[in-house]
Amino acid sequence: MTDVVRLERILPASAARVFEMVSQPQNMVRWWGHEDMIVPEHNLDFTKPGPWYSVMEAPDGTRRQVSGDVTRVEPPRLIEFTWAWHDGGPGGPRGAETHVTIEIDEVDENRAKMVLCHFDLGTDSARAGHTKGWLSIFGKLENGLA
Amino acid sequence: MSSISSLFGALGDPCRFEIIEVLMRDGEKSAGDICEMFDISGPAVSRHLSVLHRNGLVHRRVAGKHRLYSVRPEAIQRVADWTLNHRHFWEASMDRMEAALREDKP
Repeated sequence: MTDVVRLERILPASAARVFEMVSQPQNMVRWWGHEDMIVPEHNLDFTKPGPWYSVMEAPDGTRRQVSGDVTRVEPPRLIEFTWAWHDGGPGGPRGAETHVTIEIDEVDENRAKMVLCHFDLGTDSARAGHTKGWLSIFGKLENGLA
Repeated sequence: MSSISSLFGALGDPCRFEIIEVLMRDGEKSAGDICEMFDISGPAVSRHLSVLHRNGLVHRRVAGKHRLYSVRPEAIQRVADWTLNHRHFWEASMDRMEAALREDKP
């Protein structure tokens, strides 16, 4: 299913510590964002439900804004939030809404497994049947069409 | 260039999606050839091609009596970038998350 990005990692800390890293504002700024991008403006705080936004700036000065709502927080196991880019950059109308879940599971006292799923990236419900097609398109792209 | 949501919108129809797949696989084709591959009427195929063209997904040129269609790779690339970007976003973020957790270790 290409409309879902799923990442799984074993992280070198307890589930409680990983949860703090993922959710607390002072920790989120240490990891949030694309490689090479800075985050000049944000109100990132995933410790409680509510709206969030983040502006990211590329090395060439281009700014993009993404925002959403934190919809569910169950420490130290689960965070759910919505996510949409703003068309045309900060202040623009919000584009298609997508959904992210972060699940954290203790492996042992020094390790936790984190599973991050970003849903609805290529589809809405009307297009849900076409994920196999996307896969084939991306396969072709990787084979050098583009 | 069309917005990303209009690209997704144009691709969201099964028939149009299949036309794009065929054009990606076989390269440039005439409207007539594309028509023969589907069980729907010529005018219906025409309408689909026109939606794809209007949204920047296909390139159209006229050669003699034929209208020839081909995929615009930059449009497909935009769709792919948009989705793949999210993977890059989260991978880079998780790399830094892991590094931050290691830094905090006593």
